[in-house]
Amino acid sequence: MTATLAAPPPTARRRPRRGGASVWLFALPALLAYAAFLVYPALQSVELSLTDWNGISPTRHFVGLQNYVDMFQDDTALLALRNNAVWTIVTITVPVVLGLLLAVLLSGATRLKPLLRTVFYMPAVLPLVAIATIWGWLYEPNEGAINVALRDVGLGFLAQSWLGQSSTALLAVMIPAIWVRTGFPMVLYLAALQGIPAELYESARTEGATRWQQFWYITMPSLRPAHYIVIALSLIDSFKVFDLVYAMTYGGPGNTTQVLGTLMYFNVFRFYHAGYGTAIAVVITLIAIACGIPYVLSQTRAERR
Amino acid sequence: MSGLTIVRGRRTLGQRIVAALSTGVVNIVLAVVAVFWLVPTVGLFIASFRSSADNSQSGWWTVFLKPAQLTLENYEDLLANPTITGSFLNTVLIVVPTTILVIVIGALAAYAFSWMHFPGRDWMLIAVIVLLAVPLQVALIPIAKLFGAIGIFGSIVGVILFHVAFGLPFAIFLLRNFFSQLPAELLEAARIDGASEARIFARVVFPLGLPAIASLGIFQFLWTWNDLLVALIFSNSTSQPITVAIQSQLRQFGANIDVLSSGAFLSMVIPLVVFFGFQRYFVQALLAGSNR
Repeated sequence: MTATLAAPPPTARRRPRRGGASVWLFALPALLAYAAFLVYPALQSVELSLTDWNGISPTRHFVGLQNYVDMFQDDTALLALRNNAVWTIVTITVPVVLGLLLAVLLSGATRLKPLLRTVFYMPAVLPLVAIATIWGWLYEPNEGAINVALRDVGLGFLAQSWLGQSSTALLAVMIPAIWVRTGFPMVLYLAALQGIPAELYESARTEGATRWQQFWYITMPSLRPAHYIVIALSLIDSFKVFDLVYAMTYGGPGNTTQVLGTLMYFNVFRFYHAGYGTAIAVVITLIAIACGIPYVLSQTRAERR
Repeated sequence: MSGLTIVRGRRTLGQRIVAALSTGVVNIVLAVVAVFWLVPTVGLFIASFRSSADNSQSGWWTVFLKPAQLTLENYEDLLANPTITGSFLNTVLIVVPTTILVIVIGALAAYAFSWMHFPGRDWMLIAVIVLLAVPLQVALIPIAKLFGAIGIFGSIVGVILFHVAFGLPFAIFLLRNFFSQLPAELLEAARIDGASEARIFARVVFPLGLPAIASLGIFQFLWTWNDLLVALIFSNSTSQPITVAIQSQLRQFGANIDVLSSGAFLSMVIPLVVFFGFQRYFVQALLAGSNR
């Protein structure tokens, strides 16, 4: 330490200064918040998930991995896990593909394009509760716009209780999710498209490349960092699904739209199975971290460089 | 080479007509999709200006034929409802301090992580990025217990603290990416002039980092404003924000869109204003994050 100070290597001026006590003044508030609200609760969740705690009682008993074993024998939990998987795949694939398509079509600054970009991004800023209100109303069996429109064009036999029957409920909740989530990949891809040098396209055209070839051989490879961010953030985010399902179907009808997030909530705060609910929360966390690992690795590799 | 350049761009009349037609078709498809994208929000907006009788008898689109049916009735009822107005105020009281705290604490930590050297820095940074993936569900129950024990369960303070803690990983991640790309010469010059770390942060890093800070602020503002889960658990009937108030009405009134639509629109107004007011910063934030 002192040796470094006495004889700084030639690169020392470029390197960040070794901070003294002031480092802790800068980092401490954040580290304290982390310790109190993230690290400590996460560890305590693991502990609670190994107990039979009901959420109110002052006592709880250690039950080992019983809650986790129960989860794999609980049909509702397995259905919720399956719904989470379906939800994650659909609400990532469709918005990312649609967002990329829109970004390619809407890059540039002609009069209409900025307006259209705004239209497609706007749902992303709305509260999910407001979105649940809008779509719940569109789906309403008697007065809802979807059934009314179907009847008006003579397709009345297709009108149905979209959110009220198990065959369509999950799909009916995923459609608003797609509506909300398409804007984010679009905006990110639009930003990334701006970074591709125009000369690349010019020389490709010179060589007679079609627009399709330009897309596959120039646009897609150039968007690789953007793909990474879009997919990683969507994956992390998708697994936390709660608001839309909670507000639109409350996990019903029956339990057919239950996802892990709502099931955790109901177990802890409605059914007094806090130990079991916490075990579900731990499982959500583990899966979300597993989904995030490739991204974390790429980030830390970038750090080391 | 020059021969090739001349050939480029010279297309036959037929090719040009085909190109113009396909562009036209694409534009028409885009416009139709955009209209569908817009219809749910516009429909809600119009429904919020129609009486309950009108809403149950006819669709909102009839307004274009009979504009006289528009009324402020729903909004008058809404503003006379102390639960809604109180929850709107609660939302503001939660969102503003949360956003400010996340920016200040996040920016200080991001500066330490990008321009100061201390033992364990790289490992702590990795921990920060990993915590981005941790869903807040895992902390709900222990924090609810903790808040109960120290007596802030059900208070606005509790909701704010929780939001700040879970806003920090993204804040530090985004700001550190941006701060670490600032020119080293500027900071070195300030250090050679003998400026303290606090002074460098306040006079150099913070002003130069404003684009990223602005976009972080917008994101944090919207997330906190739109949150349902955290507020559902940590607030009570006197501290609940507007999302919780609307959610309980949604369960109570079901399809009565005249009751719901004005409330839902009230909850959307501020996010929409923020979005339209600061649109260009959205893109800047994401660019800052995608530069690597």
